Amino acid sequence: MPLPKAAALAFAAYTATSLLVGESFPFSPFAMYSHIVMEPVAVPAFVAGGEAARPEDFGCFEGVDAELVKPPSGVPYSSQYVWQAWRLRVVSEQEHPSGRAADVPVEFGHAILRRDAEGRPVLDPPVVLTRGLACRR
Amino acid sequence: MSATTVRRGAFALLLLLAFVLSAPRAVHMPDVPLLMRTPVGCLALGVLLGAALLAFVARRLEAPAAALALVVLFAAAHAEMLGRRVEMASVTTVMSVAVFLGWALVAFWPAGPEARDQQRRLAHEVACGVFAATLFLAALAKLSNSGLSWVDGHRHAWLLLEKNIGHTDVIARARLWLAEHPTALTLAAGYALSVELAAPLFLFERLRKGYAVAVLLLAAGIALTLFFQPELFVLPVVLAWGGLDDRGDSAS
Repeated sequence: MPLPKAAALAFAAYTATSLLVGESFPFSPFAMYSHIVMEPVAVPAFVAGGEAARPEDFGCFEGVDAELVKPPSGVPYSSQYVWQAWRLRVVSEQEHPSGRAADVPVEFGHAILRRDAEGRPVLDPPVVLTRGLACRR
Repeated sequence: MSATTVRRGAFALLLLLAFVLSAPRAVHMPDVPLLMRTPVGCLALGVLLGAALLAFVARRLEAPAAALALVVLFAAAHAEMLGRRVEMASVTTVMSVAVFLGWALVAFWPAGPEARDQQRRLAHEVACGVFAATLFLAALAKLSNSGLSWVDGHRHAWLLLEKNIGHTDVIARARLWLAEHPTALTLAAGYALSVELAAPLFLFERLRKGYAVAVLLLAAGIALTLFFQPELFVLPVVLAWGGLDDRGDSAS
């Protein structure tokens, strides 16, 4: 079975360049999920009106410090993109206020997921990183 | 409609989706250049990309259309990286642009008309080589960062718990159920790593269709457990079943 030279050369060139330059678009070592962290881990947490909720269902954030919506240091996590999406949402809403009244208390933070003594997964109460008000969409 | 048009259409949709996954993430972000920061600028670039891709599918002004599409996609990827403050754009954008760039660089390299067919064949081979490299690199990263412990189902079970605990929708419940079956996850992870490691098989023309089916199963597994990666559905099928030029077309 003949090996097409052009395909093999392109394969070698892209692989070698990506390993050499790392993340440099459109080259990449594609390392996402190559290291899966074990317990305990930090899980993004959002609470609205005292209950777990999704930031996507809220807007017009007031008083929330977007810079604090980020993963904690010192605790492993694999959901960085979730915090990023949440931060972008807060920044976007704050830069372009809708004019609606923000009347729901909201909290951004993280919760630690760990195992209890019997090996069952337990989600600790959230650690609040920043709080403010928001409106339901 | 020819099979080539269908394949180009599918590829164009993938590139459009890559733009949609990248560019809007830069809107309203302070570090992003003005053109990509405003919704109007983002929309204008999207329209420009759509027009370029339409021309590419219709095979009109192919080279300028491909060049324009690549410029817009590069801009979208860099805007996304600036906006999100990350080093890597959406994986869909990286993979699809890398393959398209490899193909376009060879397909539109200046050459005489007599060399056109040979050039397009080479371009197809280059696209296949780049696609295989992206998967192989993912396997190398896993082995380098975690070794064979990457296939340990308990790790994947914990990952599923981390991402889905507290969620009550059907998909999250299914993933939480999977998290209770680490042996199944070990098998699935072993399959994923094997498929990625076997990516050089895609370099051989006769093995491409079989390997593409293996990638489709991998893509379905990733969609079930983590997230939908459209490039893993579109790229193997388009490349294994003819590519972006007239290869194996029987209908017109």
